[in-house]
Amino acid sequence: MYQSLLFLHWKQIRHVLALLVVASFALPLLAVHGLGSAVPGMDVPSLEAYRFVSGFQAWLIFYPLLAAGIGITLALSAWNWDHQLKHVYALSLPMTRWEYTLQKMLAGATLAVVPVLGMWLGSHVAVASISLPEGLNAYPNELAVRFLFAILLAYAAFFAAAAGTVKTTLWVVGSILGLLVFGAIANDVLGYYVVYFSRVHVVESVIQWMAYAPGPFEVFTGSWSLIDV
Amino acid sequence: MKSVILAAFVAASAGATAQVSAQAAPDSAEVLRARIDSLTPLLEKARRAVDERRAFEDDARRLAAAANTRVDTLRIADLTVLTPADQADETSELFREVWEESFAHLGGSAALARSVFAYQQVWGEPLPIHLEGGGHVLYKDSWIPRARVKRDVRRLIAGAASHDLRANRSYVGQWVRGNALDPVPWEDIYRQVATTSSMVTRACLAGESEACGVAMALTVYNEATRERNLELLAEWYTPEERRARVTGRFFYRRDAAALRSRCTETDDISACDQFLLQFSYDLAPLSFEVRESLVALALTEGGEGSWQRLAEHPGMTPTEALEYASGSSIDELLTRWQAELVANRPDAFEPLVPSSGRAFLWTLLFAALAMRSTRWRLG
Repeated sequence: MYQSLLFLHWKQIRHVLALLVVASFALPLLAVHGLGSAVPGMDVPSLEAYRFVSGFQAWLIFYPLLAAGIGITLALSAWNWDHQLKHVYALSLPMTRWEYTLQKMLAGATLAVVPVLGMWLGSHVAVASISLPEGLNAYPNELAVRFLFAILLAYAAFFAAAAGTVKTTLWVVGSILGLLVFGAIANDVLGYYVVYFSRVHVVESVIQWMAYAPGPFEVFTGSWSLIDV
Repeated sequence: MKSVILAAFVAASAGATAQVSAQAAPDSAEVLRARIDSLTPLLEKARRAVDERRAFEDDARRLAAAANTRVDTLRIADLTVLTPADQADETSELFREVWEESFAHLGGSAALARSVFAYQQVWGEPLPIHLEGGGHVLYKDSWIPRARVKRDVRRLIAGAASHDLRANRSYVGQWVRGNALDPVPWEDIYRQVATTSSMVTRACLAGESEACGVAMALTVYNEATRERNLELLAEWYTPEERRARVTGRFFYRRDAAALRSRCTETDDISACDQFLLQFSYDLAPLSFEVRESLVALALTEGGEGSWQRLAEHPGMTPTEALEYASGSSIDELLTRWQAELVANRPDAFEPLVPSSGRAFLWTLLFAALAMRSTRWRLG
């Protein structure tokens, strides 16, 4: 069953996945593009090291964004076929729902490995294409591991959301949007009258908790540096 | 005003339409279109007038609100703070907290005593304050986390206090130049030390604390004659490193270009030295930010009154001033600074293992939620 689901998912997403693999491979190469262009035969100047680190900083945001994009794409495409056919095929199978869901999820997670391999290869090629200044190290393997876990997390979160009913999804999304929009307004208004609310901001606290340890999306806010000290 | 303009516009439109109706004929469609087109500039004019009127009303409302804002003057330790009367308690508490946490132990500051700060949490109209002389104004628009507000207030006070070192033209002030009371994070200092190609920074990272002082130009400051600089260059950089520093620099001056060519294209290391001495702004391997971190450490070590001591004797060399402020010898201070530096090495992926573990647990949790969907529940 796992193989069938894997094949089905692959068939559905292969074109998009190919693009995402190319993006994953190209991102580290783009990030190091133009770096390490020292005069041949000369040592890399110390100023280069600053240029490396600062030049790389601008690209850091794209790694978690790409990971999230891949995870979300995989998750939504995993359920797309079931939603279109009103889940008739799944219901006709001689297996429980949780088994079906688990195998479907594992199939999607397997596909997540493909762009991670692209990122891993791209990172190694990128690092090999430049001469690193003294004091800097490359972390292609670590970057690929972080990329994998970030994709898996985004995939799992959206897989769970897409697995539920439309009503549940609307509730979840509505609650998040409601918290972001009305929470901020309510906090500002309350903060004007009650000193306590001018110091504690509910929305920001929630975001902080979600984005940093031990929150669920901590892996996205960690270090994404391919090159660092 | 707005209604008058709109009424004029409507009247003009009606008039034009009436005229067109009076002359109406099946073949006059073009005439009608031309008339309507001719009204377009009038519409634009009316819109502009309405916008101008609205802007004027906004300005008037803002001025009226500003005139009604009552301002309190607070005295918090050495600080004088202006703030709207209705925010006095909160502002006082904020500045007192920052003062107690970061500045109280440093001793008095003449620059702070001379300074005036203005602070307002802005919801409506800005605080109508004009500060003559050395004023420091901080507006906070909408909600900002308290930690960030405190950081900004700390920076404001630190920046004002740093005038103590600049005002008396002390050697330590010239050596550090920047804002020693608000140093950059240790991780950034480490990055700078680790990425500087210099034999002394390598030695510094390897544990030779004396080399850290040399890399900061601490021990030789103000003795730097030209000859001394040449000696220093050899002390700071290997010939290859000196040549590499020249490689990264370009000047359009003909003499600079000639020196640069001699340096990079021949084995003439003296050309590299001459180029660096003539055309480099600062030759020391480590920047002012690194020096600030040493001063900040000295102040922390010195505790009570350390800032006052640092600024007290402008004639002291940086080494003497740091020893006087911290109460430690420069060797002890540099040893502690080096230990602090190494302890704060930013390990890029060190937290990856626990972070990945947590991500995996969250993934399992989401998977469990997915398996509990209500989509297939019957009835």
